[in-house]
Amino acid sequence: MPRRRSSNRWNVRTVKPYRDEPRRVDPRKLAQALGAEIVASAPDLRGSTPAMLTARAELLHRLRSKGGRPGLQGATKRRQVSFRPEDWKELERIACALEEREGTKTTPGQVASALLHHALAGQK
Amino acid sequence: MPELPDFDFASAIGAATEGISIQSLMLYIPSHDRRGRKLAAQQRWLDEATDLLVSIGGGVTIPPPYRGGWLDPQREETVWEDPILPYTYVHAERLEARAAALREFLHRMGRETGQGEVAVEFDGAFFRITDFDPE
Repeated sequence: MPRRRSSNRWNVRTVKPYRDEPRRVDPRKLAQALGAEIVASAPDLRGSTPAMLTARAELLHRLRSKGGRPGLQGATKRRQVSFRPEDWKELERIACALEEREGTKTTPGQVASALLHHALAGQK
Repeated sequence: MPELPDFDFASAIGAATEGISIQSLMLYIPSHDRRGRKLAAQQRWLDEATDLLVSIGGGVTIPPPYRGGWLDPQREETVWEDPILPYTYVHAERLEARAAALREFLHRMGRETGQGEVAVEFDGAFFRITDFDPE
């Protein structure tokens, strides 16, 4: 069976801005050519929804790797929860985008946990 | 589960598939020197910067001036200024060809306008130039 691309791990349809990756200039080489130092690099958050930004902040703060897929720190209760199909699809899309953009391996369930934690914290 | 096809936005809107620019280059044109004195020639430096950016990206965008401040460690005071940040989406080959001209401009601007540092943003990274090339 052919290996599925990691960007479509959840079989989410994506919009590609272009077919072929355009040529890029390496920022480190440009810094050298200009006699400059790079002091900060911003993560690529283009097209991020508020839910994605919230999940990103929460997950980056709480994901801890012990080898393999990182676990979500503090998430010790495992329960079965039902989701609407469209909500689960959106959670898959966010998990997929986080992995593609930042290399953060996460699952739709972890994204749901992060968003729920954030929403409940806002109720206090 | 069958794999879903991706949607190609460039083709869908009939955009050229050659020469797509995905990296932006933004220059900081200062309004004050490092001691907080207002520059008389900000527009002249802006004109020169925009000519360079047009040659690198084929066009330029100039947002209104931003209000910004930085802490002068010697005087322990915040120096306020109104830098103008023109930017373009670069053509990679043109940027490589114009890198020396860009360096000459940035270092000369730093020297002649009495800056502590000159800032550039490229592809989401913040560049700082503090040691200016001699004349």
